[in-house]
Amino acid sequence: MTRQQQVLSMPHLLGIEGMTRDDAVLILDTARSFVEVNSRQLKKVPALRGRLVALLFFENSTRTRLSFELAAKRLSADTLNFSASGSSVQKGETLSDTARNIEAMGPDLVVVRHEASGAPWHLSRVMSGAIANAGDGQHEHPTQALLDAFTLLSRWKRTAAEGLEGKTVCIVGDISRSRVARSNMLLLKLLGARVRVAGPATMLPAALADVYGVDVFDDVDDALFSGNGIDAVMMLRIQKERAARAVMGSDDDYALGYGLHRERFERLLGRHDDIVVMHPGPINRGVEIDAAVADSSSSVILEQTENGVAVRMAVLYLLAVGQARADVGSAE
Amino acid sequence: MSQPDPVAFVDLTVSLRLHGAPDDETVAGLARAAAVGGVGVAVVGVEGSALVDGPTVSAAVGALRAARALGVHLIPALTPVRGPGALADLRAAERAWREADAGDGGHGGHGGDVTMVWRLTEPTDDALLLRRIGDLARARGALVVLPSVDRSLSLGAVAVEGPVATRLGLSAMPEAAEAIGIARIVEVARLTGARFLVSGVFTAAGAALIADNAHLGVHGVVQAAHVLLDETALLKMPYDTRVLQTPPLPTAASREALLAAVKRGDLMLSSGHRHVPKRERDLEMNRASPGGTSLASSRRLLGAVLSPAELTLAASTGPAALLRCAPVLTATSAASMATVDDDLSILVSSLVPELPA
Amino acid sequence: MVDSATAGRVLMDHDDVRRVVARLAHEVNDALRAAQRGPLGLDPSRLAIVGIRTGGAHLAHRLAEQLGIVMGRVPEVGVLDITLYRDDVLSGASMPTLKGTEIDFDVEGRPIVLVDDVLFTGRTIRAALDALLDVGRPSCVLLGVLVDRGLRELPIAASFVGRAVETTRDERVDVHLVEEGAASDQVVVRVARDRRRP
Repeated sequence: MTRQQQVLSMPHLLGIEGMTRDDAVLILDTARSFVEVNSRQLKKVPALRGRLVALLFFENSTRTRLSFELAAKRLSADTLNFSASGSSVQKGETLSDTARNIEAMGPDLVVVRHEASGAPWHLSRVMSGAIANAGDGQHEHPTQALLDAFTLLSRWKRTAAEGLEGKTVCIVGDISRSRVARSNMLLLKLLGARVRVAGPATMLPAALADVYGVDVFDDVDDALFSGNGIDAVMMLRIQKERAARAVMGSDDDYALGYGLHRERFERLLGRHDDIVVMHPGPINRGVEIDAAVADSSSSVILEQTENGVAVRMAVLYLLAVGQARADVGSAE
Repeated sequence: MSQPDPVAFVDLTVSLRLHGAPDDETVAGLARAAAVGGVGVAVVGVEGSALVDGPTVSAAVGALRAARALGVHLIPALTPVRGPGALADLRAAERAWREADAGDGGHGGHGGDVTMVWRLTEPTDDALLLRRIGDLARARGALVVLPSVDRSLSLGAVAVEGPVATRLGLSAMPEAAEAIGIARIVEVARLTGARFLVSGVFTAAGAALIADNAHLGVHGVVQAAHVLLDETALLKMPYDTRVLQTPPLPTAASREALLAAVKRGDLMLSSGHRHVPKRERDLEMNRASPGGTSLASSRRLLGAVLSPAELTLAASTGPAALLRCAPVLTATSAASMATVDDDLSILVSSLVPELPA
Repeated sequence: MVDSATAGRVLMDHDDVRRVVARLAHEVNDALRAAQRGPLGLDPSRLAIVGIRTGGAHLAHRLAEQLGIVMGRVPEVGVLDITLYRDDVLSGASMPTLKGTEIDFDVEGRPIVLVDDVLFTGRTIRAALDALLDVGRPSCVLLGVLVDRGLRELPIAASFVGRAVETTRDERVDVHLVEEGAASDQVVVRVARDRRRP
């Protein structure tokens, strides 16, 4: 019987990069216990009672912030909310200054979302709490990738230890600007999946295949149907302002060329009747995905959101455990 | 410093920051750093100051003259505003400079032959403006110093496009941004006959373009950081703003090409000295200010990758020839360092034209 | 963690454990029948067994099996993971892996027998009660343990005890079950160096 790892190998969750497969398995297994907690009537455990979780959201994000807040509260932690608008950030306070002010309140865990890549690294040098990255610039969004992987494992009835070997997942959209894509490419590969990415050439960053070991397509039908096809497709949200920057054509052009519209979906379903359709949300209905497709039984979009809370509970719990362990270790 | 080095560095790109804030650099501090680093002559662009109108230029001449007492010759680079107004600024500056300097043998007292230096701080993709500046520079005998990159391709970028920038999620510019920028400068040089110094060359293609077009009066200088480090430093110190440079750190291949070009004498070397106060370091990568190696340490660092002969050509005799000045560190510099009075710190600012006593 | 301790003395062997579990099943059955007539008005047919991970979980299944023989009906079995409820959940020197609670039935209004392998300070049972009550509201909770080793720190008592033994603080009571890979069931008392609190 192998001795299972009980604590993460790193003190912060800054990204999927640097995470070991054991770390990923630990988080995903732990998340399963929290799914059970979330299915009870009383969705609360006292594990993080007395701990303070600071939620620093410098970028507007209702969904992710609420998901983390709910996760913290279900662990019985106290929460401290900070959002950028209407705050001292607008008066020119720097990230470091804000961090120092919040540090004065002694948060044990800090969840941060910021529009600059590397902001969580920056904070980890200023703050003493354990940092969880809720999305930094174009760099990573690790909890999104974790909940996506969790959703796939549940759908395919596999344990985290079994991983995603033998499965092919295709990510479609603006890969160059997507931290969701980056984290997913890293985690899916870590769990043994084959990964394809597809998007207009202007949205595929340099050295994608070299850096992430993925198969790159600038034609989405090739990506979806060539070879043995795929088991799951993840549609990324297209930022509306892209069209104005002429990186892609109009919404209609994108939908036709790269969207998961009805015809493309039905063709996909015909090839794989158990195809899984994912989207990190929020959806641009009719652009990257048709409403009917998003609502079909192939779609796991709702489960992704539900699993998000359990996965974030697992992350907060494990970071707190790691922190307490380190304190015990340093005290001895 | 026990024995002043007879062959001094001539540093072509130094930035002095003067905003009236306590942690900005003073002329005296700059001069001290120069003396420690064996730099005898430095072309100093004053950031935040246009150094173009009469009173400002007078103050500048006076302050920089005072710096000579500290043993370092600081040649001011006249810095116009960005955009079409640059032309008017340069005309006014040049006139003011000649008036202020007339009683002192010209150009801050180095002797009437020392080249007047004009410095454009931001890249431009306006070829017409470049041409007009070139025409004026040719007429006035000025050397135009400007960045290597095309503005539209480089805006907002902190890294070079490629695997490193992709992994870290950093805004990036293609290496082609430099080739396009330098090609534009080369053609304007051909059109106008003016002398251009491309500052901060960071790609192999850029180095090759300059090597091929020296006969047109196009010269290039590489900042010390770009022959000492490449972009893998960004991976070793992720999101650490100390590795932020302008232009961005080169790819490994470009770094090798740059070093080879410097050794051959195709490119010159400078420190890229730029004092960055902590408040501007302590920011996220896309907002922090890029720095450079300092005047005080560049020579020592470069000694690790270049032979003394190569270093002398690239950082002393080469630049001296371009500026038509003598690469000499005055023998009194060491002594004058010892007697420097801190109250002698002089601030030159476009907002404070009068000289403190 | 656990040091290479002495061999220790065998408290119960394979047959002992089997006999004890069978006897406990009878005791549970008798107690429920008596209580049915009493003020609580329990319904024995609604009995469910909840074992505390990990040793208590295996014993819970065994008890349920025996109760099937005694009562003619195998009661439902659930498993409780108390990791998140321990009072040393974050600061504990030993960190059991979180495996999760699995209780697939409704506990509302039902009599529950909570099962653990060793009853010691009572802190585990305290955490288990919190965990169980967060799942639902049973009509009552009775505690059954294989071994009661004394040295209670909280006012907790077991209704059904397999074997009671006096121990000292520097001893540990290990329960080895075949479900966990032991060759045969065994309960051993050893001298230990670690200060882990069960």
